[in-house]
Amino acid sequence: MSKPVKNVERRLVYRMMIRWREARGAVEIPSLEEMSLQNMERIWPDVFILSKLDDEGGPVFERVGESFSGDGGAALVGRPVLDAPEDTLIGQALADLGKVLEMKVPFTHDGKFVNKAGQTVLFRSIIMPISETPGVIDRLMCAANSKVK
Amino acid sequence: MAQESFEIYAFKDGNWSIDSVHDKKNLAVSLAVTLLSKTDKTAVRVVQKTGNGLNGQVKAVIIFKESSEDISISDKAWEDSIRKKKEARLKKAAEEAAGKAMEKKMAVIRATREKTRKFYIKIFKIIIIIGVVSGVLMGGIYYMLDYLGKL
Repeated sequence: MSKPVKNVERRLVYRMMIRWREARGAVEIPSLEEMSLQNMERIWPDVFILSKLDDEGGPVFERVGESFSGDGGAALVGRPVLDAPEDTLIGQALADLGKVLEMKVPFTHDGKFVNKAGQTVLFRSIIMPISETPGVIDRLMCAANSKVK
Repeated sequence: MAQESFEIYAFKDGNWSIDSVHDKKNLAVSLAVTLLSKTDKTAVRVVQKTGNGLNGQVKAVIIFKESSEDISISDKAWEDSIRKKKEARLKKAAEEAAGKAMEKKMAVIRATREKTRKFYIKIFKIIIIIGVVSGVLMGGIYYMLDYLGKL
């Protein structure tokens, strides 16, 4: 879970959106490399990436940032999104997955959930399409952070 | 419960396209302003969409619009795009209605054929039964007459 710093949540989804647009340039959807070049160093811990979007078992975690270590973190790498528990930030951040694949544009989401410890957690998340081949979404880049209410 | 989302649309080279979708108004407006000031887009809009979640009806309202050039250009393109979408929707609805009517007609034809087939099977069965019964009766009569020495 991310550090509960005031207004960081909003800035994260906002900054991700700005970076996605800058990476995109003249093309419709940026590649992972183009995104990686967008001064991402301080953001990577709050990011997870999904790939194999057409797999029968659903998209698979390709990379999971350190901020999600309490949610299964690195152990989720290589596993399908269905394995992410719903009472975790990573599970909640996947809410708009289907809509992003359908509309091929970024979605931001605000919400709250009750975690395993019974605490109410407020979160913000963003899912952005990533494309290596024009017209095809190869990956989804997601970022999320939260604070306990 | 009403579901609410805020869609950002961007205008460039005479075309409107969707940029992103958000569930907070302030974030959407703020990102729309940035889109206009930091990219080559010449106009932006934020559309608030509210769905009642029951019958799939969605209400759309433009809550923000801004342009770096004569706004009437993007306004006209927006109206054209809305008109085209409406025409496409009506065409699709008409095609679906025609498809449904055809499906209904085909269902009636299939039901009639099935009914006719069942009727013929019934007739065939009756003929077979009558034939068998007649054969048995005639065989019985023949046997009786033979037994009584009338043949």
